[in-house]
Amino acid sequence: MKLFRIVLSVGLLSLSSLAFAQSTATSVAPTEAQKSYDILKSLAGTWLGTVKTDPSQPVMDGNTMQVTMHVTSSGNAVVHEMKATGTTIGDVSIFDKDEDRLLLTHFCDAANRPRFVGKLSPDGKTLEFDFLDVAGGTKFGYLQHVVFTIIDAEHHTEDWIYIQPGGKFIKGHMDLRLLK
Amino acid sequence: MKSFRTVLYVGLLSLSSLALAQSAPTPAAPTETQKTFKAMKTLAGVWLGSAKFDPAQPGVDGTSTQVSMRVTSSGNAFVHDMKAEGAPDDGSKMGDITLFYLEDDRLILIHYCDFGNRPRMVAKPSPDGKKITFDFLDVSGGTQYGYIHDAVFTIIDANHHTEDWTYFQPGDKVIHAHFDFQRTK
Repeated sequence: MKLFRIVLSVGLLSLSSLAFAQSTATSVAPTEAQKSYDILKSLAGTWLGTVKTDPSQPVMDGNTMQVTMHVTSSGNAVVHEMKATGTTIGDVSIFDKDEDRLLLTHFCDAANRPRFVGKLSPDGKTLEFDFLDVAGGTKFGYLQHVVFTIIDAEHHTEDWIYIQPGGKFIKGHMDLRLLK
Repeated sequence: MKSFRTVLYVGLLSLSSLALAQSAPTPAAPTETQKTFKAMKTLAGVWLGSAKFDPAQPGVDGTSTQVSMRVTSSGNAFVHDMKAEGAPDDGSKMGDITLFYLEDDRLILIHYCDFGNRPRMVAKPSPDGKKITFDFLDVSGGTQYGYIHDAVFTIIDANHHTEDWTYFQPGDKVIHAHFDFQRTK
């Protein structure tokens, strides 16, 4: 909570210069998780695009989706909100770092919360999230894999792979363009 | 992901009526936890209020604070966004996010703290649905800067509620923050 952080900062001022200097972290090269997280933060904004499914689901194909991403918690979390345009229907995912892993937690409308661990491709353009675990019931299925691909500053794609009850997979691919 | 749920519904339509009838759950009376979650959702909206600390924290007491709350994930999650009034929507400097959801008939609060940790809390049953107390469950991430330990939401009426957040500083000193909020929309 930001206000508590301000309180803590005030408290830190009472430390001696020596103690403060000792506690200052030495500048080090960013880890893979930090690099991945920084890339995600660069996606902050509102995005619009269409969805295409594999295998094709006529009820979904061509639907317009809006994705809003914003940085919060003093940079410690990135919020991803996705909804069908013109509706209030949507869901939320949170990205954060935990023990130098980039985590994605999806608060699914199927009433479960799968978590994923991110890994960055060598070219720094693709963030692939491998399934870690899922909390909550899975009788309606759950998300199993997620991929973000950065095309340029104003374009990226997202692939969300969902496993249905019975083990069938559906992939939703979204081509997204930055609105603001 | 809502779109996949839509697909799932379409898929379900192909099941025989018998199978569907067999799989359809019988509507049950809501549990106390579900009632509590429903009460929390009545707070959806935008709220403005001020903070008061105990012990007093000069320079921070009276800070004007905005809270935005919204239902998401087809009602399966509830989002609480807090920031200093007037701060930009870019929460990289000001603000943090908390989510509420049901798990094993418990109402869970997870706070993505700007200290870089994620404490979770569990709601106690709230017989009158007005005072919802969240007790500490666990925390992941580093706690060298302390962590939020518990929270209480009190619904006064449709346009007023209070929030109490308790912060454990390093060394186990406790700071309590009380917020009086009024609905702005």
